[in-house]
Amino acid sequence: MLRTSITIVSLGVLLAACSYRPYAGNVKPLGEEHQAAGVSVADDGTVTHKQGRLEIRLRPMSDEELNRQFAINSQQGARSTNPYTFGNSKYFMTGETPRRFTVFKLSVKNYEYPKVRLAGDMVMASSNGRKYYALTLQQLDTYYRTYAQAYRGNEYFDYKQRRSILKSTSFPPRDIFSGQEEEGFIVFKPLADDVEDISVTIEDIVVRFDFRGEPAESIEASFQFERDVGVIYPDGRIDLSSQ
Amino acid sequence: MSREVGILIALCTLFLAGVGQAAEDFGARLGVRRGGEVNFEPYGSGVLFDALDPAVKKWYVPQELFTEYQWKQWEYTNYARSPYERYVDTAIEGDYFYDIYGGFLTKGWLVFDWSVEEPEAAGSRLLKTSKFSDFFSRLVVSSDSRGQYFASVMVGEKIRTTLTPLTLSKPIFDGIQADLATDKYQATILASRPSGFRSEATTPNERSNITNLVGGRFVTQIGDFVKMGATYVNVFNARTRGQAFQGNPLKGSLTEAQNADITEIRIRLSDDSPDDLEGGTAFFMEEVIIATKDGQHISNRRRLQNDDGTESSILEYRPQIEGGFQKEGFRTADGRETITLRYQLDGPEYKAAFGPPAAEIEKLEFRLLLANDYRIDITSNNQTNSNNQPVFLSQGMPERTIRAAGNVKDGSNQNFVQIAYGLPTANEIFGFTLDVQNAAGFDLQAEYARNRQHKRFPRFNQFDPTKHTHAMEHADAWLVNVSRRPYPLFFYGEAYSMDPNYSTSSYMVLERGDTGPVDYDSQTLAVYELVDDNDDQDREVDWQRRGQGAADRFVFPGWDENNDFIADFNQNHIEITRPNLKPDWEEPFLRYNVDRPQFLFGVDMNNNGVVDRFENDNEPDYPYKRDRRGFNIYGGSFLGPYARLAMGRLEEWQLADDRSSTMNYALLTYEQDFAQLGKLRIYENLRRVEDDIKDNLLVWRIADGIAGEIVPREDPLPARDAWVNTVYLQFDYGRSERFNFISKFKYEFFKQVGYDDWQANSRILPGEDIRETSSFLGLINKIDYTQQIGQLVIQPRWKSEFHRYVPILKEDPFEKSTTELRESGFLIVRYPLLPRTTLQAGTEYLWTKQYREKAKNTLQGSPRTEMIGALQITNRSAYQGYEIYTQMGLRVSRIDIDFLESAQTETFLFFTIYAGFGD
Repeated sequence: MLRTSITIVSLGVLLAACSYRPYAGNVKPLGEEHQAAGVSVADDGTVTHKQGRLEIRLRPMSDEELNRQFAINSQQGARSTNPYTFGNSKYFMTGETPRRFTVFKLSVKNYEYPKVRLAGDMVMASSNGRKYYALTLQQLDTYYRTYAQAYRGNEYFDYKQRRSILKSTSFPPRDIFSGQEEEGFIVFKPLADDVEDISVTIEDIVVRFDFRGEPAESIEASFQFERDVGVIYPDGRIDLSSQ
Repeated sequence: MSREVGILIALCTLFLAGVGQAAEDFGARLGVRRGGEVNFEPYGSGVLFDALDPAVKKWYVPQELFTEYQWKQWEYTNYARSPYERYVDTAIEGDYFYDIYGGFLTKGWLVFDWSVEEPEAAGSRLLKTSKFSDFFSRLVVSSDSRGQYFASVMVGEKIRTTLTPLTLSKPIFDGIQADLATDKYQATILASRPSGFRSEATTPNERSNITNLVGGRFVTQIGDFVKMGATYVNVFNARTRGQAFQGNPLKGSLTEAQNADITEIRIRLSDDSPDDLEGGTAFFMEEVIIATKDGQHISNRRRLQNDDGTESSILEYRPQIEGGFQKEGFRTADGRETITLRYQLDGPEYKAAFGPPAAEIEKLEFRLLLANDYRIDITSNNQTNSNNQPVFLSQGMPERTIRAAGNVKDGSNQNFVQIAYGLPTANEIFGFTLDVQNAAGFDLQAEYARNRQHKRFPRFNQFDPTKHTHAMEHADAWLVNVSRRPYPLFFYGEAYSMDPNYSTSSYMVLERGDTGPVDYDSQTLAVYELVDDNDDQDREVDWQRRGQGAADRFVFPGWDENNDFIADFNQNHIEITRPNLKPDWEEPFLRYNVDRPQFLFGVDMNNNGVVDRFENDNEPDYPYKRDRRGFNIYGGSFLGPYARLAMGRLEEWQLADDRSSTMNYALLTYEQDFAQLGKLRIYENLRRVEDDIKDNLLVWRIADGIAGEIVPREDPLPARDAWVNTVYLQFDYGRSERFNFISKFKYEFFKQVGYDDWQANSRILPGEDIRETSSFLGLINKIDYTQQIGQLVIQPRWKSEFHRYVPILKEDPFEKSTTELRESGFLIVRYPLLPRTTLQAGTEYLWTKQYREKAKNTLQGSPRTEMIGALQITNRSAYQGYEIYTQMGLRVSRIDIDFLESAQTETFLFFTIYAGFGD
């Protein structure tokens, strides 16, 4: 029994020696040559889809940016109330801060149509077949409700704070009339470790309506992004899979 | 003379001139300015020089307002021009309040007032006015801060307060909590009067005999890595008729109801491990030592020296001894047998022996020569229940008893056990904590706590309550957790010890009359807990205690992942409002998604057959159980990014029993999400266990016809000497939008080692009569496909479930052996009738096959078929700010169970409206 245990432990240690963890960098846009026609890429990572004077911009947000934007909600460790990230809390087994969500900032400027409505799904599809749908406020609400343990006032306050940030900063579900601009975050589940190239599609953007107010003409906007993936070794060395 | 008249006229002229020129005197109505500050301290009524009018008529208007009301004695009331308005409540803006220095505080309302005056009858006054609940919802917080200093003081009901898990942890603490925090230090002070804290009235709750709580914690940061803390909590009984500052109040005092002479003592000797029917208390001899108020020390066995240096005579008195079996040289109590020693200090034998009168006795001490596995309980004529019957403390608090270490049966532990009798007056706990974070990569948390249980000997003629002879028992608890996690390796170790008599429970003075009786056998009325039982970590305490309301009836730890306070396995049950008496895994349509809880996987470190995460017990929520000492260590490594292997060893033993647990274990987890396939999860937990420590539980039982109830579950000791293995596999195919496939497999077994020997050589209790091999084998496959044709959405589903279950116990009241295959097909269609109105129709066919002949003859296990059809129309629309969901429909089921003679038909019709807030 003892010998077996020693063998198993030795084997474990041996396996541990070549242990690695997946590495994934931040999401960044692909060059304009990989984007659809009429899509431009700015230096700050914003990808803009233009149709006349209707602009739909999508910009990937890194956790660091989100933590800076909601700085006071991102510095309380496990009690951080930034609803988009884990703040500065760390997972006890690895000492790392995992990614909570994949977040994009979506901006719509409508100087072209009388009314624009984002009626369809927002879908993030990866080149290796994964598909993610934008999370609704109800989904996020349910997700954060579980943190309000026993509905103690303190936890409930955190829950409300997260909900408040989500409601005030997520992309508003309302029509964008001529001359209006709307901006907000859209949130997806965190990308799997093996996702390298992604395409975010905003389906069913209604640009014309009939006399009953029902959609008459819709367009679709697609944005291409990528990120570095690979493995990181215990000594900090990173091997990117594309290299 | 003319000169004197001239001076008088001059003075009068001066005086009258002065009157004419003087400003109005407002008295103290504008307050008094002192040192730059205006105060409104009381000055009493003043002298009104200007209102001096030597008239006989009485004034019926306020003289101090003579300027406004003039010198009228009465006023005719005519409301013709100015209509009369009714009287206004004089307290409409509250009352006027002054502090103990006379400083005016505010005009407002008294919210909370707790004061203690001694010596005085009913000197402890606690007043919570209706404003406490109406204005502030039973919580008032004062706070202040400057720079790094933050302070708050709050008084409230249901405060979630934790000092440390060994000393105080209450989800609903009632009392005062003061907190201070700086960058380096943190401190908390707690105070409460549990006796009648919840009462709310217009007059104070005045008590002469009360139970008080004081406590606190101080934490300091030392350097970058270390935090040290000290904790103190004390719950003590007090009475306000005594003089202030007499003795140490933290040792507690006897209440007036308890302050009566002890005339009878009963000592019960029993078997601490009654189940084995042998090796119980071996009683050889006893000695009683009586100390009197005039300094005599009298024994019934030997001569003792008195305080004045003389030697006392031997008291020729023996207690009345009942019960037990007489053996050669000793009397024994095995199994359920007991020996009772009865000392009647007002009885004829005692009087004939010229024992000191009960009123003269200020201390009683007993020395018992005992051996083997004894257990001692003691009571007296003052230690009673509500019927004035003598009761043992262990009837109210199971830990308040004296137990022999281990389970010795050969007499080798023969010794004198010394007991000083007294009634509990205070329960005190102090301790220290150490928290080290990332020191050379190590994390360490440690706590030590000492519990001191104070008691005093009652004597009627002693008027100073703090002079009743004091005695004390003590118990210790400690724990150390160390971890280091240098990725990919990790290590964790824990060591702990909890004495069997460690107690965070205190006897509370009752409010029956004002003399402070204590019902020692009443857990629900007379026990105050410092560490509550709240296994599900909600706001309701799991047990019933005085002042905390009824026990939580809904305790299902780990079964409420969405935090909606409804068990996840009966999600559509709402107590009273909309009860549902079918578990979701048995309910039509819902059973496609919900699988029976036996498919859950988790760690079971106490080897009682229930995953630790789902355990509910009836004990305080200590980090480790009472009467345990042991350690657990594990180490392991991440094996790549998706797998983790841990191996460890647990050793644990009971201090007051000869039971132990040894476990070597390995835990492998593997979880990977394949891009083109789906998510694969594999868990494997192999254990070699020798565990005969009982870990009894309360379990949340959901069954057909039972929405959910708490039932006790005795630990059958399924791993006395066994190999235990649990393997769990799950694959979720989720790459297709329309097609979903889930497969689950679980196999768990408890395989006994040396089962035949154990069966042949042991006395097996019914609750521990286990099988040689018990197991659960389950396989679930689920497929669903969603197809949209125009606006019509069609979803066919199929679920196949096979489970073979052989329960641990041969005769289990709730669980029976079964080998069952279930196949069920579903077809659900959804069609939007209007933009906000949807029609759903569905049908389900269930077919089961039972492979076990014995189970075929039971209602649960009998093969059956079910045919269900359901129709539902849902409208969702906005109405008056709400999102209204209107549902109507019906469900018809035809259930054909082989066991029953004829098929049953069930119908369920509904028209329901829900109002929500929308997304």
